[in-house]
Amino acid sequence: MLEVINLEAGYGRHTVLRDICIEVREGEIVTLVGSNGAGKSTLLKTISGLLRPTAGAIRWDGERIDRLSTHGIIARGLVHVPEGRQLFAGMTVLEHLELGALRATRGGKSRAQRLDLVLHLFPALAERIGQKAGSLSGGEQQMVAVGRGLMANPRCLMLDEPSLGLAPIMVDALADMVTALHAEGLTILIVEQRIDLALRLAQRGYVMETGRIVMQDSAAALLKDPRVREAYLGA
Amino acid sequence: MDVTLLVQQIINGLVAGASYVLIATGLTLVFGVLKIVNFAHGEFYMLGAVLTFYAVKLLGLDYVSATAVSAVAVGLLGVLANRVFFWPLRREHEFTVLLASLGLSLFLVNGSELLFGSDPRYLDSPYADETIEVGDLVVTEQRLLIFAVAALAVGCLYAFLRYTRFGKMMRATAQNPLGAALTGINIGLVHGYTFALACGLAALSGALVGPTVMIFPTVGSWAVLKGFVVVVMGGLGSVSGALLGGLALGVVEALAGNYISPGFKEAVGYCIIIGVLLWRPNGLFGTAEDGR
Amino acid sequence: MKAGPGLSIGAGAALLALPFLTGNTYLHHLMVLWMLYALLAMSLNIVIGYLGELNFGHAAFFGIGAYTTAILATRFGVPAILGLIAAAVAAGSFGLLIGYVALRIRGPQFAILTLGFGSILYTIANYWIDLTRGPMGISNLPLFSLAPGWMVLESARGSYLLVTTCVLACAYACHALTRSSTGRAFIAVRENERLAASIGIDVFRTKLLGFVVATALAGVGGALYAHYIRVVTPELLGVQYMVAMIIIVVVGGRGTIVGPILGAFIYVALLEALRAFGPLRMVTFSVLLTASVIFLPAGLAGHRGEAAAPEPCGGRIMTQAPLIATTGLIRRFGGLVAVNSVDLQIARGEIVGLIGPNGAGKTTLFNLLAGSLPPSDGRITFDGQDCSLHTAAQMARLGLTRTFQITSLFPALSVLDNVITATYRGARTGWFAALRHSAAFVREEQAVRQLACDTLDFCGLGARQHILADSLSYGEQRQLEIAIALAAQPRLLLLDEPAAGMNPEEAQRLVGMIRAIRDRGITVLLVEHHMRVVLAVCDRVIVLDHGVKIAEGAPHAVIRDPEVIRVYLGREPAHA
Repeated sequence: MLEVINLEAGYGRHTVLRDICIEVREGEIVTLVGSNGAGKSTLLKTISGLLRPTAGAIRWDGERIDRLSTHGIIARGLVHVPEGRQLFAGMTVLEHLELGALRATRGGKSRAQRLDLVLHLFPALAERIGQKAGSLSGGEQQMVAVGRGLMANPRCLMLDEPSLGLAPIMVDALADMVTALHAEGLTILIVEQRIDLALRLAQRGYVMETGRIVMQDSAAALLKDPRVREAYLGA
Repeated sequence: MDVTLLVQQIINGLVAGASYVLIATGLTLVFGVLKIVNFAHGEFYMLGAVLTFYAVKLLGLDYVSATAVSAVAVGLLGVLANRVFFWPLRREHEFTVLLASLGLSLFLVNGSELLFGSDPRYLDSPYADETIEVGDLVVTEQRLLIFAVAALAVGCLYAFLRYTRFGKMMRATAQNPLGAALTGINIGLVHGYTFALACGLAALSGALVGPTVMIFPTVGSWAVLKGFVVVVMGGLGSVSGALLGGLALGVVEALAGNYISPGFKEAVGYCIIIGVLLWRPNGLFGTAEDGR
Repeated sequence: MKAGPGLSIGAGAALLALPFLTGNTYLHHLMVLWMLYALLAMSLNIVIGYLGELNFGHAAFFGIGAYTTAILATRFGVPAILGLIAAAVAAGSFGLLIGYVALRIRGPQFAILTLGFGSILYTIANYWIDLTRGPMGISNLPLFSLAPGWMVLESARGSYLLVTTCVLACAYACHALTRSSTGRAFIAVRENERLAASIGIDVFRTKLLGFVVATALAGVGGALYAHYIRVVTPELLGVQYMVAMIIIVVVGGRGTIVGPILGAFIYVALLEALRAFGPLRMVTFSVLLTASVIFLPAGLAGHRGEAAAPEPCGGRIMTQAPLIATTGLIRRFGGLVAVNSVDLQIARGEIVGLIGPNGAGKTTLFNLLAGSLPPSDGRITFDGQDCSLHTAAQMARLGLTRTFQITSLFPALSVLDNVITATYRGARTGWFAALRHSAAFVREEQAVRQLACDTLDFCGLGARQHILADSLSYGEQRQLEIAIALAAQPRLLLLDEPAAGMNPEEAQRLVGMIRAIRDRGITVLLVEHHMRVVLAVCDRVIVLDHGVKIAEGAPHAVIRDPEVIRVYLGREPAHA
């Protein structure tokens, strides 16, 4: 479904990503783990068209998307929920969800159905629908960010550090949410710092270090692999 | 103190302030969405007045339709300026963008001087000489028109930003450009119509104020100075700040012009702005969003 | 400029000789205008080029200078030479006042505030008719003379010699400035205000100094202009002079010494040459200006990193490390408590690691310690002294230096200049010593250069001194950040994720470097995600989660703490 082939990208003259190859198949949950500064977020930004690759290709359903604009990529059903949520602090929850539907792919559920789905997934948002995003708690803000992404009727959702800054109880809820979305038929690519959480949710995983993919395997195998743990805890 | 005179001055001030509001609103929109301080903004005000003059003279339109034609035409010019100038420079250092806008401003002033000559012109309006009197208070219809149109325009703008899809896209882009791009908003399009709106409002202001003053190619530089005072006072990027700031400046200037000295009314505005900035460096309605 | 003193003196002499090549008095007149504009542009260049602030009110100071001498000369018969001094004092005093108010504000607001000030003076010049004679202006100024009736400059050639001498003196002063610790502080503020504060530069005072010098110089320029043209009108304060000066500085090359002279030449010459275009003159001019801004953003004399010749290295710093401690430290952001009642103590000579998941409050705690953020509550003591409310620059002067999570350098300077700039805290000589080229200045410059070379060698960048910081690889940039911090001669060094983005070998080298830093007697506190680095280098580890200290102790003990594993790896304890 999503293929990244020999990708190279960076900021200005600084190349951050080198020779990245990953693949996400329809219906999978794939995770991308690695320490801070490994280039995970840069990879997601390049896939979603915020950064232009300097070499390599990105294919979506076989079509090259590495020269498309971000809104063109969203319209094809590939949606990026960014790190730090990137909400519009002065706008209401409902306005976020409306804007999320701007580039919704045709077919599938109607806008109203999707709104129902989001509010069903996140009942807390239904209560705060008229409230401004800036006044919400961290967990609620994350729900708005994911909800906004879902309104575009995506086939694949890329989640960047969704657990960042969440209280432990919210992290549990987050895991349940990812499972629920997957059950709805969504393909998910998740970047996560809490590797145990990420590898438990995912079927497959990639480990990144300083801009390269250094390991790839089934999530269960990576979970047992002492090298993964070592990369994080050194023990 | 003469109450009638005071009220008359306040009315005059509100009318002048209404035209400041129209200029400042465009400046603040462009700053809010594109983070650009556009020195060429005053030239769109000047073009609004000049094009209205020619639409009346050459196309034989009446004043009101000429105003509408000129506002639309200048709005389109704004889109063009954005495409040619500001969009390609969007990742450049703020100095470069600011000086490029200064260059654009010089180009538009000198270009207009070349095309239209530097002689002052009078824009005729059927409302310029008609007055309305309530008790001892006297207002020309033109001034009333300025106020009414400004109020209507700002009201429409507010509703547009608040309730329409395009307005929401603009607010989203102003608040978080990265988030907006990832929501699927076409940032280039948003920049384009922000410029169209801003320049259209400036032109509207020029066309409305035109009949009450003389028009010549350098009027824009005074207009943009007023606009900046209002915008910085109200808070860069804040539409409500531009509204209150503009009206306040108009009234203060009118009162200062009457009770202190007509010559010094301009200086009073700047003194106020210095005071406001010392008290609140980000303006009355400004947010310390990026603090840089 | 990067030319030998011989070449500079030659160029100066050639400039002075220029009017003797022709007897055409109109050309002489243009030359005087060129030099007057160059002088004004040089003064503006101090603000725009060195301090990096866009000043739109600069013409006002030019006008103040012109009016000061005009009023003194026509009303009181004050000799021109005294008028010149009075003009500098008047413009500089206004500069102090305005700078004191406006320099607290940055960016567009600063530009508009200065514009507003210019407009106030324009209004005053127009309407305070008793003083300024209003729009008609003050005419019939006496010609400039060095003493009443002695050496009266009647010809344009004479004026040219006077103004050119001023320009050359000014160029020398700018040259001395860029070589002194004062000038390095200016450029540090322009390049990276946050980093400048972290190496002990008082950003506001530095800006104010630059602003006052620039305005006083503009006043001198105004006075010279007034005595040459012999008429002073409010137009001098107006928009067109302001625009002209900005154009000259930008087109010539901001932040360079010859840039304003070059820009002024082009401005005067182009306006003359374009007379052939008749009515198209100004349009062509504005097109050329805009194109040069877009295609040559650094200007004609655009600056690259000006690296000086390397000199032998030596010398090291040894200081007794202090102790930093916090009690009940709290920082709130709105409703969020980012740092919640943290008590910590760091002994002299320790290497302490601060770890915790993303969003745990590590960077906030760092910012509180470094004075970059004021605490909401609680106390910080450094070496026994309460410094809870110190600014970053004050903390740096006490001996606390930090690096930043996102690489923070002076990108447009060479590697060596980056490090030399960071020695600011130890500087004893400044601009005036550089002007006199005093022995103390020469000695200190040598010492500074040695210290910088030594620090670069220590950080493994000795071979890269002359490269622009911006073109170093990512790993090298992180090394340079540490070199900058070390050159500020800290007692406590805070490192914010020094290993982020480093490959394993680079990380290994970093471990050795941190140990060597401690061996120099510097206490180290680091935030780090790279556990291998933390385990290898730290004597003690503090773990934060949700702003609360949850564990503290020897590294290997801490990472076996079940609570730490829980917050770090996910919801369940690890089972490896």
